[in-house]
Amino acid sequence: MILLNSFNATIEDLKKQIKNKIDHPYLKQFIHSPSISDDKLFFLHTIASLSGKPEKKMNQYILATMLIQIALDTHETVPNKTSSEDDYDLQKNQQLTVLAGDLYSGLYYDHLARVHDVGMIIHLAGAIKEINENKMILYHEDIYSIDHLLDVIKNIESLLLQKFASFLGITQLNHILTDWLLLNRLCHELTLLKSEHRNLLFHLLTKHGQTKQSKHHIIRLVDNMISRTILRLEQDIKDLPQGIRHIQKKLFNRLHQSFNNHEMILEEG
Amino acid sequence: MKMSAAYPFLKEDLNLIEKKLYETVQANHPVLREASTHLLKAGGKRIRPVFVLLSSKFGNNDHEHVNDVAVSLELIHMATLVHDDVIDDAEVRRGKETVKSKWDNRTAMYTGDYIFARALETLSGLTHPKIHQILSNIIVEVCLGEIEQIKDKFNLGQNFRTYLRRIRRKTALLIAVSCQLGAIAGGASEKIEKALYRYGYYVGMSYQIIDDILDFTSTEKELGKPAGSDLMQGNITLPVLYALKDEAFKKRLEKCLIHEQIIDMEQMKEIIHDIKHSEGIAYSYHISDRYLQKALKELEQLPDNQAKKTLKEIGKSIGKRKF
Repeated sequence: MILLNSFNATIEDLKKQIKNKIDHPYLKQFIHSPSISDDKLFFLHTIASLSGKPEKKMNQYILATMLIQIALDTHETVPNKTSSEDDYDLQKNQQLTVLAGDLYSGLYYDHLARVHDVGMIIHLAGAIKEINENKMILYHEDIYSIDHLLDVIKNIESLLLQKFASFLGITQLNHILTDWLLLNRLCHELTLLKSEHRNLLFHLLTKHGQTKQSKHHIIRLVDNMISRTILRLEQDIKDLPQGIRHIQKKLFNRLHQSFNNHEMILEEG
Repeated sequence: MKMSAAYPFLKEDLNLIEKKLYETVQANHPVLREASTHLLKAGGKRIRPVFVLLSSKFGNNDHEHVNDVAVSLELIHMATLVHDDVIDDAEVRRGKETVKSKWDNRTAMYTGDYIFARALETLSGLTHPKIHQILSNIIVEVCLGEIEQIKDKFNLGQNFRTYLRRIRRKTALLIAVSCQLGAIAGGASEKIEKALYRYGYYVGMSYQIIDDILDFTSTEKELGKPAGSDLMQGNITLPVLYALKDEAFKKRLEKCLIHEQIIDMEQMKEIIHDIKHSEGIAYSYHISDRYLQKALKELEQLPDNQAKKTLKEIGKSIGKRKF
């Protein structure tokens, strides 16, 4: 319990540091505060702890990685259609959203440059490059199968963390975090689907289904994907290598929280 | 004289840089590849690579790394432009459709982020921490400058200092850093590096002031946009600031900008005409020239060589440029 509390305190402290870093009084007036993914922080911290490297250094890496994630997420919210000139506040919001994302990207680079970590800078830049390649595949619908679609989503969601892990030489959790973040995304998409949003995933699944499928079928399909992913995750956590088996409980606890959430989504549906 | 006529001896290096720029943004995804090379194909002065190359000539010139710095700086500049076109909802840049116009905002956002990542990856061979500290700091400063610019739009209460701080971040710092990084990558002494930084800074200030003048004095054909566009977008530049010292003019402008984006276009045309023929233009040229003289003075500390001569010519051509 003490360990868990200390873990949560570290996560909260990291969140606070990230918020301080991206704090900008003028931006705050016009754009929403970016959300900080608890699950991504959880994995980054877990991987960093497993590396056995100094905590201060690891926290710097986590902060930089999360800054990139926030930058990319911020740019994802730039509307595709430019707001009408008449709606000045909306236009300003849009302009500042672009700049905020650029600023957060700059801050990641600045943060690592200050601690002279050129290796990590380049490593994470590689992740940004690949993530945008994958985003273009998804956005321009260059998807040839449902499996391909899932792989692309996995890459978008987890490449940054995978690169972080590979830089530290802790890759044993990669398949778990990849599935975990896919699970998050699928749950999010399912919620959107149920609230009548016709999202890209719905469109692509319909496109790549064997027959023309109704919304109900697509919901079932996504739901099955979620269930299969959870089962796979449970098995993978059970099969963790000996050296890192001590984090099994922590992973199971967190997974069951997600699983419960999913159950809730199903019931609501 | 065209600025590029001042440095024929850089042609080979610039060709190499151009080739590397193309190679660096060859993405796997066809649309990403096309969008990333789109702006490159539109050309441009490549002024940052030129400053990097010239500044590197004051050291022992580690050729490979110098070119990497030049490529990286140009890519960072390009990534910014691709995103700026989303911010400004711009249809045309350098006479070509913008990425956001040819595709859409989303593609432009992904393309800018991709180019930025490639710019950093290009620097993988440079382990000198100072280079990364300088460059990363400037990226943050440029972003903050752009945010300031949006904040200051339509603000008639701003002063000269606000304006100078804005153009410092908008233009001067990146040129200053191009010179500084060129010097570091080329292995120049710290004294030379600092002099080149200051030269680039002053040249950049002078360059931007001229840009702001030309926005009023050039034709639509030369500018590729209507004269006075900056003011119509709410950007208060030096010629306007000077004119604002006249209370009657200030009242007219206030009346014209009824409410931020709602502009009385008829009155605005008159205002632009008045600024074009006001003393504010001569005053702005005077300020630009003062920066230019400071830039040229910095060059006096440098050893005589062809690069120094060229930097001097570039400085002078900036003062004379018409568009």
